Amino acid sequence: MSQPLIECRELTKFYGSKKQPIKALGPVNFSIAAGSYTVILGKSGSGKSTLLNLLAGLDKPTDGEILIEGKDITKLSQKRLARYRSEIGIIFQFYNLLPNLNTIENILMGGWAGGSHPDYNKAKELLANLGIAHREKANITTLSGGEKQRVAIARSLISDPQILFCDEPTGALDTKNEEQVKEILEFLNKQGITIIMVTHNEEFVNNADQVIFLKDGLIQPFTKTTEESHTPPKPPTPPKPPTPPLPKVPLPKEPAKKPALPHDAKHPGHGSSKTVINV
Amino acid sequence: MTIKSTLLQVRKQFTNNWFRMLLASGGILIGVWAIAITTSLSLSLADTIITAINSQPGATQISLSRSSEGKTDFQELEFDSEFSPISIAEVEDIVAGSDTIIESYPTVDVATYITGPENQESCYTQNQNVITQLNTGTIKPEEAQKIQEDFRLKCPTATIDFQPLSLAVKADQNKWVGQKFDLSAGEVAVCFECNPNTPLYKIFAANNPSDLLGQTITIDFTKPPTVYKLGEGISNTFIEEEQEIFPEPNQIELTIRAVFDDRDQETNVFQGQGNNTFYGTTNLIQTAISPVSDLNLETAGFQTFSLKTDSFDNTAKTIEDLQDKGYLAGSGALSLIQAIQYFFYGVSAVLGLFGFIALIASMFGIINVMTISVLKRKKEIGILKALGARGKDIFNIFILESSLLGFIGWAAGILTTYICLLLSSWAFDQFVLSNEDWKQNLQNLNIGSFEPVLYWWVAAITLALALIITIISGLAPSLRAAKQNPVDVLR
Repeated sequence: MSQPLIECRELTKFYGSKKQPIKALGPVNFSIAAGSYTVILGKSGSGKSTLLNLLAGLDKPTDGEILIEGKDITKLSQKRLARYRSEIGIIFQFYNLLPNLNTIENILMGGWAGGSHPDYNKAKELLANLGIAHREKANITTLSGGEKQRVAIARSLISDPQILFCDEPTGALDTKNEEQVKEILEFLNKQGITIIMVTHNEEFVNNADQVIFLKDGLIQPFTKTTEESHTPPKPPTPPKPPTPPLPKVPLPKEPAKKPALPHDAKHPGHGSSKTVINV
Repeated sequence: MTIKSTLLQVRKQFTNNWFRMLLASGGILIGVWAIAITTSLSLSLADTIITAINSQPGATQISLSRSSEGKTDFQELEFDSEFSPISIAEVEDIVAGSDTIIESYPTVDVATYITGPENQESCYTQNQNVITQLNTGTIKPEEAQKIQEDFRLKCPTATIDFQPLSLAVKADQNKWVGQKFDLSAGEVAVCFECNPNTPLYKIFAANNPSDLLGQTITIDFTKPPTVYKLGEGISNTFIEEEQEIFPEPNQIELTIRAVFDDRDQETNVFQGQGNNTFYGTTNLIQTAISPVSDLNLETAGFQTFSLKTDSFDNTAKTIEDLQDKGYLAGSGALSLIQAIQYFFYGVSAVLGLFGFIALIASMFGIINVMTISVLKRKKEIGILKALGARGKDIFNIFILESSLLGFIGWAAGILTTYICLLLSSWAFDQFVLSNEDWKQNLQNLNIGSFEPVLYWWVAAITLALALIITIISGLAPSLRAAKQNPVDVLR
């Protein structure tokens, strides 16, 4: 069997002081296959965001290992950890866009921050594919929630990530936008990007290859609470081929406005290279 | 992070918060302005004064003597140091071997009192303005030669000071009353109102220049004091002390044969300029000195020679050369200029210190602003770090912002200084040079305007200071920003 993309061993996180530690997570053990769609599910305070932060290299665990393609990111220097972060994509619940910058600058910052020089046209293309080309130079504070999240998605994709971490990406959106974001993520997953999604919304489970259900910081067997969702999650998919660096995100909404797929067809060869996570 | 994105972040920060940033750089502005304005004004003032000194005939003059103690610097000499005479031939050799000395002549000083006609005691008693302490420096070589030929003078303890050429110089440029320019022994030319403090015409109660013609004045020539240190000159008190040693001055009666009329031709107003109150010829010197000396005519030589260099810039070098040859050499003008320079350097340093204190005080403002900036932008820092920015990248953003505060403060400070200097130049024109009397006096000193200079090195030093201070101020907040844990600020 091939090596999993992500593997966590005895991963534990405590907050608070050494004298009065508060357990937030663990120990947990799991692995995630490349190209899979993993949902980390749990109620508020269950440790799911803590787990995501650890996986994304935003925080250091108290104990345990996080192996990304076999390399333990918990032992990386700050410099190499920053490099790791620049090679993954992260989408936050509250977008976390930079208010000083406009839309396109925010997207480009996804590459600039890690020291790369992303293509301006590629950023514009992402905006077009996400249906917000007309907001290219807009002040970020004037965008709606749905638009902001699309900008955040575009920013996370500018560096052609192999893994996309999503922390409740639809948590602050209305139903319509929630559906659209869900569809975008599904599409990206089909393009080969490994999606790791933190949510408390069980509806995401339907599309998941794997569900990690957390309760009080520990992984528990998952059982659906709604009637129609008794179908077990689909089995983990085998590793998919490498992610194309620039997935053409078709907009699953308003096809009359700007059909994305025909647009994609114009650039069939685009994104043929593989993104490698260097840790 | 890329350089472009770092600069973009800094630019956005400044454009979005320009007012706060401008306030933050205010301290730097004041400090830089204080240093630059005081330094520029002080040094420009010194330059103006030096220009004025340089414009005077004595500026390129060197005093040459030979100390029997072998010392070559006037500053090292005791007050009553002894001197060995120098012959004219010896000085001629020195001049021949020098590229910079253009003239030489023996220095002879004489102290004089002038008294008016009978019952005009005010002339004697009033003050030193009537005492003509004539300076050396205008006796040309041929005149000096004539003195030597006439008197074969050796003057080991006495000096004579006179300006026989003043007559010729003034005669070319101004109007004289009376046609007799070629004065004989016992005759003198006087200036009607040259000395504004005690004009001779008042002593003689004359209303017109021509009223002075034919009047008789008495000049008390005394044997001058022993050698004095260069720069100390003959003070009134000093002369009076010496009077005790030579209680009977040689009194000479002189008849006024010519009067210098210094009225403006258009306005007919007396100018009242200049210090010389009378003019004479070498005959006058002869008359004055002959009865005084106990000279040894066989060993003729002079105690002091005046040498003139081709330019003020070469004066210091020439002095060094002469000192290397074992002579006692010095320049009153050079000493004066150096003293002025040191004084203004000192003034500028002391005043600049206040500016430096302002700069130091501004550090607290910068630290405050940068700390607030870091706290306000915790989330931004977290986002950038989550996107792959390193601690070093975050540090760069904040230290660059801090440095930019310094640069903006410096640029504003230098600009303000420049405007202030222009204003001071304008004010000098408007309020000083608008007064015709002042203007005329200043033009005599070769000062036609006051144009303070903003020296490039002042700008460079203040820039370095501003940057150093803002970088030091920004260090702690920038390091704090760099160490932010992304997850702590994104929660």
